[in-house]
Amino acid sequence: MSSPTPTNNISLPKRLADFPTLPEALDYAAQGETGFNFYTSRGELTQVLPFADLSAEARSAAKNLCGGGVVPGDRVALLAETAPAFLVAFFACQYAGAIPVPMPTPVAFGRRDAYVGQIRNQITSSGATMVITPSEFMPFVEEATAGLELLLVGTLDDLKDLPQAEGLKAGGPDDLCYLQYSSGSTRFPKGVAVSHRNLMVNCEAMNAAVNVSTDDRGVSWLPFYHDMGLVGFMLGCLTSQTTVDFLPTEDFARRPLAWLRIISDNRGTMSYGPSFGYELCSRRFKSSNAAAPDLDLSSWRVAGIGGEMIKPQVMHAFADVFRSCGFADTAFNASYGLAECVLGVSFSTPNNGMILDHISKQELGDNHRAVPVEDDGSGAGRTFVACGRVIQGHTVEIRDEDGNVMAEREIGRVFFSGPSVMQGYYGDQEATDACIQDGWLDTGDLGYFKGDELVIVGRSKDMMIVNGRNYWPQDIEWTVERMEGMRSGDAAAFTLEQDDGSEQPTILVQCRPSAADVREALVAEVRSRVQNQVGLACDVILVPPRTLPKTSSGKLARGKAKANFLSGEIQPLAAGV
Amino acid sequence: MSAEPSDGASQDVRAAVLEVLQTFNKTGVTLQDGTRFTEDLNFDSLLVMEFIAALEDRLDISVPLNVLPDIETVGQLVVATEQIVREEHG
Repeated sequence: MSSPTPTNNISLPKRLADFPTLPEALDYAAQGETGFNFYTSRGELTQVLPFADLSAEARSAAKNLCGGGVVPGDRVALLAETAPAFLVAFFACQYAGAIPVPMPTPVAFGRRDAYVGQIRNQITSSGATMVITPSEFMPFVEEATAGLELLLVGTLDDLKDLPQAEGLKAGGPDDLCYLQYSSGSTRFPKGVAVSHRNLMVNCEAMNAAVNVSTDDRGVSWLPFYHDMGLVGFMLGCLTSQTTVDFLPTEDFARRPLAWLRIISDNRGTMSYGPSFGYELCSRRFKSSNAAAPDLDLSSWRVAGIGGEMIKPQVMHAFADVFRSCGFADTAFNASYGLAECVLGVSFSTPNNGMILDHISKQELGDNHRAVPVEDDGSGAGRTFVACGRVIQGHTVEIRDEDGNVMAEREIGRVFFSGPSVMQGYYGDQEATDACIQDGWLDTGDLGYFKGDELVIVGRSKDMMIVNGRNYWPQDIEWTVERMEGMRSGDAAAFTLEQDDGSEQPTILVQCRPSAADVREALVAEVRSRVQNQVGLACDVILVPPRTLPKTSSGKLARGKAKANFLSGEIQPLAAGV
Repeated sequence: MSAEPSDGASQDVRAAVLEVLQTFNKTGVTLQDGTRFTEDLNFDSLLVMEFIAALEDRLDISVPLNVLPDIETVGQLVVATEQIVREEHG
């Protein structure tokens, strides 16, 4: 195999996403030597795709799209494997003025029907006129598209077999650039519609927030069907001509340390992941029984964390394991974002590490205020990680229930405005109007400002109000997850409305043991811990493993868990069987 | 899909699959062809990948993602693994 693309371009000056449209960004990047590289979990470099090659191949395939009947504005669904073929198809759409719709790949044993149903819903919801997939997933795609009238259901090679037509007409700054299905349930998907202008301003602001320079090199295992992978490390890096080394997500999940190996070997400087990605690495290293990791992580200057509530303990554990390899705690960069704002909303200052805020649980619950307290181990406080400052050119407001802007350290709903706010949910005006008003996007999250740092404390719709007091389901779930034998995602807390109008706090706990006495003891233990640590008496209901639903980004889908429980789709386990 | 009667080489594959799987068997159920990964062995998506990595190392094979959605039981995994071994090692 040839060598990977270099970190630096020889002579092409770095431009940080100051392009009107994505095709223009690729045309510029194509004048240099940088590009994308693809690795396996065994560290082998399998494919090298310089931006110059990506541009040429995509331009050629764009002519096939036109020849095959795709017209500007058409949606083209793409199974988003981490491979050059996906990128060529994605950028072929760009040159042809079509709108690519990345779809997920399957990742678990069984559940074929659920997977096929999910991609069928995305294809029909987007009204895609063509579907492109790697050949190995063709049987699923054929099943998902049965009965649909489409111009082509095939591989990139099948697309290239179509006649070519000249006269490519790429989109302008205000045309849609892609659709992203990462929020909403799988049954009723919502496609986030992003314009070229949305994308460019967000990429430019993210580049500025982490001080991207010519010496930067990205490393990523995040999937292309998720905003952090698609925008953060594919589009964000391409629009700044930054080389990226990709490890397919499934390869990362098999051998997470391969991620760190690539950073070490290629002197990677920027890489992101949710907390659990870091957790997987420290856990796998500990179980490997190796004395010290044979890695050099000293080049890694931005170790980004995002995508779920950040757990400081997990990050400290990672740093403890890998500090001896040159990993610096100051590299941690907590951020906050969502696909509805393209990706990034706020970023920490590079080289500052995590900024923690330990606040009173009492004040949090009773008065919606973030009042700092001493972390004396009494359990009276809760630690949050600050997610940095709002990106340039954008504004965040914390608002109360009546829409009034709140002061520093007052907790309310997080609203975002600026040129990154999406165009809307594709073809769903009602859902769009429900979250964007007068240019302000209601993120659905709750947070507060600590100085100019944004701190996220949870999802507002998840908040539990019991006897007039607010409780945070994450608190309850975290308490349960920390028990021995429990894992992240094993608990879902919510309230059940009673006949008398009161709300009964309830917690579903995934239970593996089948012995009656073990189950009974587990119920008692959960109840007493939650009572002790959160101050709430919960009904504890054991449910079978793997029944609690997750979002595409791996977060607990709490609302859905409650709905599934109420509908009977999640059946309780008998406390003792 | 069910496990077919096996010759000597596939007996080795079956033994290897069961041996690796036993190290991931936290529920303590007896491994049979009908044992289900999600319901009986409580495999989540992370554990699936960890197990696949161990199986790949043990047999020096590469398990493609597209086989996963059709595998629900141990017997189906054995058959799929035998096929991969045949394709990769002749």
